[in-house]
Amino acid sequence: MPWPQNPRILGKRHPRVDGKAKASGRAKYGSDQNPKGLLFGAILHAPVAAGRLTKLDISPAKQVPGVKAVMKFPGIDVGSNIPYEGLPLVAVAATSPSVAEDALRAIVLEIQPAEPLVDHEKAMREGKHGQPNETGATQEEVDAALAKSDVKIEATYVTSVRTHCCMEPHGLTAQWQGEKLVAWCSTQSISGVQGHLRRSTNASDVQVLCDYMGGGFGSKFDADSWGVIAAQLAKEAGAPVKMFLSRAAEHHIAGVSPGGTQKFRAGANKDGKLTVVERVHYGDGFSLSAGPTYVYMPPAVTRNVFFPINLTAGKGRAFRAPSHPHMCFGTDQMMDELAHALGMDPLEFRIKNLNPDSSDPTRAMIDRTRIAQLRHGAELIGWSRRNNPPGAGKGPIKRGIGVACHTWGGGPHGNNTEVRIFSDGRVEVRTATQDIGTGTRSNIALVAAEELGLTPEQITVLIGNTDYPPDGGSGGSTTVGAVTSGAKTATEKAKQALFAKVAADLGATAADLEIGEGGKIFVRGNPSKSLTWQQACAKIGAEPIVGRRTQGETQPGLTSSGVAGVHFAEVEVDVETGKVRVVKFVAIQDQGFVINRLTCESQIRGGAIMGISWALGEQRILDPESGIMLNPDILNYRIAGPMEMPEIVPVVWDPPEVRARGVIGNGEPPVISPAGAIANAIYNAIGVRVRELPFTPDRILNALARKEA
Amino acid sequence: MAGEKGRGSSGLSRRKFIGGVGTVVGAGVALSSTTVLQPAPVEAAPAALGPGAVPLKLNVNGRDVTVQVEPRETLAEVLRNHLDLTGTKIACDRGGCGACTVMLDGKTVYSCMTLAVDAVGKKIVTVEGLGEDHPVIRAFVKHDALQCGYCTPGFVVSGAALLMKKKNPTLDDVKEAVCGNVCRCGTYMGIFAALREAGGGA
Repeated sequence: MPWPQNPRILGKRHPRVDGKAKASGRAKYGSDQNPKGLLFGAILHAPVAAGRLTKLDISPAKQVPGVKAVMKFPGIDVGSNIPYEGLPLVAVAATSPSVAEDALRAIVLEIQPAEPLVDHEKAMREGKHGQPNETGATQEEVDAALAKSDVKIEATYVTSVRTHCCMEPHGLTAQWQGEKLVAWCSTQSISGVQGHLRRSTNASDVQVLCDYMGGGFGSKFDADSWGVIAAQLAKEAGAPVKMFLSRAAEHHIAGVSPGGTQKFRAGANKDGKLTVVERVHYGDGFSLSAGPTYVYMPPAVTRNVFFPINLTAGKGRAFRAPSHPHMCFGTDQMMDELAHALGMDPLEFRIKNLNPDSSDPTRAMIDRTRIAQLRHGAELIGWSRRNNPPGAGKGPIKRGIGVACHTWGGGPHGNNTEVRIFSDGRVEVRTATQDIGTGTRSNIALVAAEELGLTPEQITVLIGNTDYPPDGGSGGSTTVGAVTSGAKTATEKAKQALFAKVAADLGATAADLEIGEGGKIFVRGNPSKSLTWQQACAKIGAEPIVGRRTQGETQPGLTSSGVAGVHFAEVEVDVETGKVRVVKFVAIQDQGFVINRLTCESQIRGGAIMGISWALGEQRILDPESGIMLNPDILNYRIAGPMEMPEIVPVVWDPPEVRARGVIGNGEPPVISPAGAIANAIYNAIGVRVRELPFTPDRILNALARKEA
Repeated sequence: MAGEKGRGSSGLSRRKFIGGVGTVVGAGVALSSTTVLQPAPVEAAPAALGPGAVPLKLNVNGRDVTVQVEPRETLAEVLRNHLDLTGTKIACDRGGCGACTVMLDGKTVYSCMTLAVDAVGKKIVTVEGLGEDHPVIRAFVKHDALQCGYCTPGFVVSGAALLMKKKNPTLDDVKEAVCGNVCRCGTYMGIFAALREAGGGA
């Protein structure tokens, strides 16, 4: 493996190199830019969920003092269809946010409302869905296999629609410098924004900057229509324009994680093996990306059916491990229900349906890893303490323990990196990537520092600028593999070039040299023949030494793809109030070779918290009559807060077999299993299955009441 | 709002009515269930500000600054747009998330729910005023109490305010101090550890 067997600094806990800038408020985000003459953008959004625009007069807005530009969004005019609440209609740029709001109020807007469609169950009942996509066995084959199974279950699981709710809204600050467009964006992909602005404006050149951004979770990959219009407003007004969505608009149109219904029919035999699994699912944008057994071995008979539905509501965007949290919620509860039908320990039932002996070595490795994680997690949570039988105890507070499993990819995207070593000892690493909060900047610094015997603080990391060597978007957990393989390869080359420059002075050839603590360069086997880092660099001339990694250039073993991961939850349920509290949460995650153990643990904790937040309270609530969102804020859209935090035990799983796989991304896997684990824990606590997210008190109490009935 | 529009059936403008209510309350008049609020003479009403930009003297991080802002602008907007103090963030603009937390006379407030005019005469402290090496900031970095960082200044200010009031805070003290701050990335555990250590509670 090309990574060091006994790294000097890699894999240890390192504070972020940009931690102080963020915590002290010095870090400048795209929404913090204040170029001279800045104007403030605002958008008039459609206030109804469905309808037709019957009147639109923007001229009064132009008369409001302080308003410098007003324009309709492309395609918007009298007669336009309103397909969902929040559709952007008109954009303005003004001297202050308040004046921009005045301008919006001055616009004459009339809409003829139409009947909204915001309930996917209603849509199915009324046949308002597209052609189903069916794969696998026929319904008759499923019926036959179920009839032959020792146990069978039929269950329907429903997942709510979430919104990304990034703390920094979507948007950018646009400034024209002649015919060149500069945009400070809040984005997961400066290259994506650059491409979008190039296609949508007639700029001679487009530069996108993003040093810091306040969260994306899959929703920020291009300039969005409002970013493009900000550039156009800036051109017309002859001044820079800052355009970021309001919080309500964020909830309405800046992306949702699609929710929907999964109807399972599944069977198993007394030997603990699945016999048949059928999943029929439907929802707006809800097509699930893997088969109905998710991480478990599919039996001979599986069937998957998807009905597409189009609601009059904000559309889906990728949301941190798209599909997977929903698949885990359905499949891992299905497994739990079958285990209980068989009277088998749910942990053992899961293990029986994994495939550590698969002929596919990656599959075998992932399942071997998962089984070891399950055994270890069971010890950490105290699996033997779980409520027996489920629902035992007189209450009103009942405790239970549950488990769920997940998987993800995490291989690298394409990357170009350039390293420069200067005669004063400075080291710069350049790549056009972005740090979305995952610690990318620090990962790059650590890899370069490890290679050169330096500390990460001695490395200047230059990212967030499309002028740097191209890199891809930070999605799919692809960044850490991309930028660390880039930093290592480019730094190695620069190091070899430095060796070549100083070898003669040490009476050796470049191949004889090594680098040690502090960047000291010495002759292998003869450490007294050495130069300090400063002495060696002083021999570099006016031009820095450069090492480059170009896209497509790989070293085998630096990265790979495919991870396991398991979560155990202990919950408390008050059967009188219906309130669910998560008491303890064990999150075990493998991600190959770990670069920074501190930020790696933070990802595992952060993912667990995001999943717990969904399980306890996140749902987009649409009024059934009007279709409008009833909770487009950060109070009633319930993100979990400090008071809801359990004890969280993050476990970075990196035994030698896993480390040898190289770097694998972990931004997404840790968010997948919490809802499934909590669902199974609730069943263990109260003996009643609650199959709909989020687990708000009404759903718990209704489930308990149904059991009584 | 630009211009005064519309009068109520009593013939009173909104400004006179509001001015009257202020004076009645200020004069300490006891109100019984049969009391009907009467408008006070206009001369006794406090001076109105605006419409249009007016000069406001604000004391920010120990310095007096004068800004020209409309009275309807929030303290958050003035800090960010007029003083380039962008450490204070606007994430929801509706008092729901705490990203805009600042201190007014030592008490944490949501600056998005505070009019700049209401901060006149008070000591405003933003995250910038804590200095880059504040113990809370050092502890946040050590415990990785941040990811994207957008909510972080709000938590730092809430945490600094706690430590001004309480030594050796317990975990419950810490949770209560920051329960008005929301984090989407899920950094709470690091925040708890950081504030307990910074407060000596470890």
